[in-house]
Amino acid sequence: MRFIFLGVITCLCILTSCSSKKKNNDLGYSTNKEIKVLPATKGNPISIRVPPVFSSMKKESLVKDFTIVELETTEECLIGNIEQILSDSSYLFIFDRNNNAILKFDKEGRFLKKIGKKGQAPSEYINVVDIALDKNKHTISALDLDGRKLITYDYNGKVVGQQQLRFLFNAHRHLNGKLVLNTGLYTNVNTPAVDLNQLVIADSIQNPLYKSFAYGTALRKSEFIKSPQYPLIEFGEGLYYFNMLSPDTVWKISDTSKQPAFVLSFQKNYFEDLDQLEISRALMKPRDQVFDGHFTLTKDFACFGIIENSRYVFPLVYSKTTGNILFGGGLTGDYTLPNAAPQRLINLIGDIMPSFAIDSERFCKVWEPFLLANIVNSWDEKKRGLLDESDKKFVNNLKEDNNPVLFIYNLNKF
Amino acid sequence: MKRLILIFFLFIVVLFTVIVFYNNKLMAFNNDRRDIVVLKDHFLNQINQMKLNINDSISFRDTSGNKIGLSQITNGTRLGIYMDTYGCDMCSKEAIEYVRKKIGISPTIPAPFIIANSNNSNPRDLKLFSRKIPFPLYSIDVRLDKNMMYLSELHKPFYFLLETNGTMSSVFFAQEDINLVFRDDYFAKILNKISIKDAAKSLNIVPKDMDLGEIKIRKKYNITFTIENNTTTNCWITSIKSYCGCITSHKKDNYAIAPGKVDTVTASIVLTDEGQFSRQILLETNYRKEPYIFTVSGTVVGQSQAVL
Repeated sequence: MRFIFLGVITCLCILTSCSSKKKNNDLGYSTNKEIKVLPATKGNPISIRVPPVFSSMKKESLVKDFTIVELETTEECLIGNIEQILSDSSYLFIFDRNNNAILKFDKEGRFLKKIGKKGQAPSEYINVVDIALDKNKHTISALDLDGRKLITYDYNGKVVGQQQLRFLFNAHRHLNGKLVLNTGLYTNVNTPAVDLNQLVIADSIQNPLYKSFAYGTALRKSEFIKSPQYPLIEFGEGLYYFNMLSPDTVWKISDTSKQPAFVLSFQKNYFEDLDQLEISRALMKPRDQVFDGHFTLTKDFACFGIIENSRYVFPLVYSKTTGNILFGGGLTGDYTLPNAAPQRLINLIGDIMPSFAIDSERFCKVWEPFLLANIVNSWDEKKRGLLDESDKKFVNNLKEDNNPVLFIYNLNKF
Repeated sequence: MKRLILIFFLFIVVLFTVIVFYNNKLMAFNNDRRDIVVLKDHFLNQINQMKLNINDSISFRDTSGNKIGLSQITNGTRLGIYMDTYGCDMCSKEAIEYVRKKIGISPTIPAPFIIANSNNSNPRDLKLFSRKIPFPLYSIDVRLDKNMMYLSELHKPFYFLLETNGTMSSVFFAQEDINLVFRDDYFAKILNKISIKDAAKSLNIVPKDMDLGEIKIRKKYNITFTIENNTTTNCWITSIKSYCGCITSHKKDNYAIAPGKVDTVTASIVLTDEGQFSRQILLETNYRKEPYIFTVSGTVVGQSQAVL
């Protein structure tokens, strides 16, 4: 009798100790349904027809307000590579991924200080993958994916906040006090509330409010799709988003809705009537023209990187005011004329593909000094003689092992 | 009949495996034909026959941009690693890491050196990279030398031996996409060539220990000792450290001492406990695996009134 009793108790213990139900995640949501899907509004997207044949841009007077910012070079601020440049009214924040460092410069390129510190302490980061500015609060936040935390600093580098990641994301931006998070194709099975969605809008402590750009589990196993390098681009008050599942559309994200902002159409529509998995496969096939996911916006212009014949990236510049398009290998001008006027360096180099938008008016192109020196050294005396006096001085004083230089410029209406 | 088919099938599988295994294992530069040949067997014997001469006009520059002569780099036969940052950055780093693990710290093998093509390498990247490795890094303009030009156009890292007269031999390309079994064999073959026979000549720390006698508590004292490089190659001091926080070295890590030269190291010591003490300064070098040890001892006396 005693053994039967013990046996029954043991069986009960075994049966009640295991549960087939999944535990609720730490967000307090147990199913996907409890977080709203970000509503899509139709909006008024700008449709850009990419020209069939690329041509060089014969526009000598396209660039205006060109300035060169030489980032100060010291042992402390030697930059490996510039992954991101964020700018506020008077500062430039540079995220150097190679050196795992966030550097603060003033707008003239003088180094001010390093933000944050590498380490294992709560206020230190292990490996930063993304930084974002909250211009209202004058703070900068660093996403440390290895340390699973989001650290917030004020502009002087003082830690003002630190929160553990409640789910995985690889890019974040601040929008009206909320966080816009690119969850991409990360597996968030422990937080099913946001899993299988590429974009999440959350409150300031990562409680999800909206989710968007859902995808199927089959896609997760697909080897063909990756997250773009810069999925979230801020411009003025707006925030723009791109993902590979809608490969020709740039979305404008607000804290309560999304709408297509730019739709690129190519000569051939590669993705019409394809499901997500088919799109992911189609992305890997060679195409004549592809949007590479890199876009930059200013008040009057939008610039998209278009890959031609799976090889070179060319800029497609769209004028928002006139609707005109410039698409080509670079600026060209007739500099062989006997009395050609002095030219700025950017005109003679001819590359206007921007790396970032430094503010709402101007683009920014990051140049490595050694590459600039190689280009200028390859010119003949005549072309070098055409350089504007200030740029000639800059070229002559160029040190190849210095920090990158920034070409900051605006464009004339075309 | 079935057995015959099975044996034939097995034979095909074995043959296919052997072909895949031996084919494209390594590439080497054939000087006579001016092209790249794939060596399928007896490669170790052939390695020695491949010799190239580096043009006299080629100049090496260190990461600060200073010109370095060939004799300053080699001083006998040295192992070099060509790093190609343009083609496959990671392959180059892997090739260097392999050497670092394999022979980086050895009492009998001089430190290998790395060369990079100055035309397609960012000098700032090289400067940053040189901080992370215990080997000297030089950039060269490959356009000034035909042989180097041919080799660099492959955009792959390779190992080679370089002599003071500019003879480059034993060029070995380790392809990243195949099994690298031959790499161990290659190093086994070349290590004898570059080993220093006069292992008795080595780095010397003078003096090996120092008795400070009676010192005051919480007062800073300077300690000075010298490192004599009696070897025939550049010796790299990769770190100067102490397990005691009371000792601070005034020297930066990772610098080279030329053969026959003497370097002076100054450190300071501040002690906060009275009584006898013995502390060690460890010098890690690329010359041998074990660190060199400098011992400082004495007796701490007096009250905590001394000023730093």
